[in-house]
Amino acid sequence: MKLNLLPNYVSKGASAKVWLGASVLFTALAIGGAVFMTVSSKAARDEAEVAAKDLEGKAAQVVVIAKQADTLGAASAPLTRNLSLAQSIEEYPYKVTGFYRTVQNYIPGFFRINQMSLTPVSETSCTLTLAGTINSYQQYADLMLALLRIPGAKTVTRAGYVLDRANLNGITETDTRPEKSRSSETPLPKDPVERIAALVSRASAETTGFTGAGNYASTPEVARQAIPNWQNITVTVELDNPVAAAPVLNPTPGAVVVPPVSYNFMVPIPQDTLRAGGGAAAPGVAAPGAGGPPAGLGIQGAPGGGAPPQPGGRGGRGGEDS
Amino acid sequence: MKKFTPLTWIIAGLSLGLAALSYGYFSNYAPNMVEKEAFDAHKKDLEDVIAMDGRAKKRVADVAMEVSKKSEEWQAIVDQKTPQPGLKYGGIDLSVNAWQLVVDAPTFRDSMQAAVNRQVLKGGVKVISAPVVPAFSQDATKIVSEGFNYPALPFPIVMYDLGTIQVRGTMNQIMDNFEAWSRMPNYMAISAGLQFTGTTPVLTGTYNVTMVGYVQGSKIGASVPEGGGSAAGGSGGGNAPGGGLNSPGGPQRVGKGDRNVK
Repeated sequence: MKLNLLPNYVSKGASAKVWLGASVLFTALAIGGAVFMTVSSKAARDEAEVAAKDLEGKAAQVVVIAKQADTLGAASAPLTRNLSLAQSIEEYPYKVTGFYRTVQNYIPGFFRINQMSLTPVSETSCTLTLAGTINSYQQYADLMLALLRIPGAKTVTRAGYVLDRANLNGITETDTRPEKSRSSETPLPKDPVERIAALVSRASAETTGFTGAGNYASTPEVARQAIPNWQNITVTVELDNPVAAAPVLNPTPGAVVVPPVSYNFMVPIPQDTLRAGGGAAAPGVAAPGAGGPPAGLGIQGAPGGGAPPQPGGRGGRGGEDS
Repeated sequence: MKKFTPLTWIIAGLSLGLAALSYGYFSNYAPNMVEKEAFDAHKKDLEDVIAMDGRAKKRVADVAMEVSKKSEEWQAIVDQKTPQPGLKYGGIDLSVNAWQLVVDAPTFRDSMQAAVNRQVLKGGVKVISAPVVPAFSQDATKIVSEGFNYPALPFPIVMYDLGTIQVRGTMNQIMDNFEAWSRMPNYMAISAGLQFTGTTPVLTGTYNVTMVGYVQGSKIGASVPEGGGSAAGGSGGGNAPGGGLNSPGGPQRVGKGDRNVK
């Protein structure tokens, strides 16, 4: 037996109708919401699509303009190459002489140079080779320190000095009071008479008078080499990019001196440069007029490069056949 | 219907409503919104591109100005660094036929040699050894290709490795002489490998020189049907087939009778 303890106004039927209505209403609202979402989202999407497509034309124009700059730049490549070649050719000798003028200030006075050369190694380094004479082993060391003062000097290599120093000999059975002597000479005897005789003998073997050593007293064109007691040496300095440009000290008055900002002394090679661009320049470059630049140099082929040179300019002289 | 409890209606209403909402959201709203965001992003990109319009125009103008500036610089170099057209001005006219060119080339070579001779004396040095400009080929079928490097290069050009030059003088005289090659009129010359020997004040300077000469002119004479050789660029007369002549980019061949036509 079931007992219904609810009041009479609470009936299932009435409650069910309320919830039925609520359900129907909710469903209708949900369907309406779905339709709204569909319509509104599609409208927003379509609007965004139209807005984007409207801009595509303008954007394409901008892209075309931007590409014009690239086209201009590419078309002027032969011109740039020739110009760079001409400029590097013009600058190169001044770089070399500027380097020599700078290096001179770091060469100590006791080192008498008779040869100086420069060898490019890479785009950042070079080798300086100096040959000359010095007169002591101490100078051989001092010279290294002096050359290391050149900005960018990495290593200094030396060769040529033959040390013939008078060294103190050791005690022997017959000589308990040894003296200094050169390895190239026989030690002098202790007995005064024998000593004098040995010295006379040694002196008689020496050349007397002017020896003519080192090409002295010859014509000025002949390079002087080492005089007696001096020695010929060769020094090689490896230089790499200095942090700062090497200062140009005491340049020749009036001379155009370009201080070396780097040790790049690689030689411009016109043949290689022109051949490197040889194939590319031909098709797109218009032939200039008779008075213009050399044919096919890219002047007139470069858009935006100005009016082509016309006959009557420098070439107005025109040659014999014009 | 009366037997359905309220819970049944609630569940039924929720189910149908959520189904409708789910359909509207997942089937339409979400995909449309994704596409809208994509279009918005695309629009933003396009706006960014359009915003660069001014910069793009400025870049074009800058590049054009740069090219124009370079053209002027190059024109100045051309004015100073190319031989004048015409034999009597020190240059050469390549529009003549190859047989005539063989006749004219030695004169041009002498002009170059005279220019080199003037140059090697610069700085007041004493010349120990001076370069000699090599003679042109007397083979009419090869003189353009070998002597003027055309069509190996897109324009006719003479290039000589003049070898080693030795001069004597003071260090400054030698340096001036070495530097002067960069100022050589009518030609581009590169001096390199300078080294000094000797004892001051009389030093000997040794270096190498390479000389380049752009040949002015818009036309190259027709190759000739000389026996025993093949003419570069095709047969003579008119438009030569092959060799790139009469192309927009290079000098143009002219016929035998076109010597006076420019």
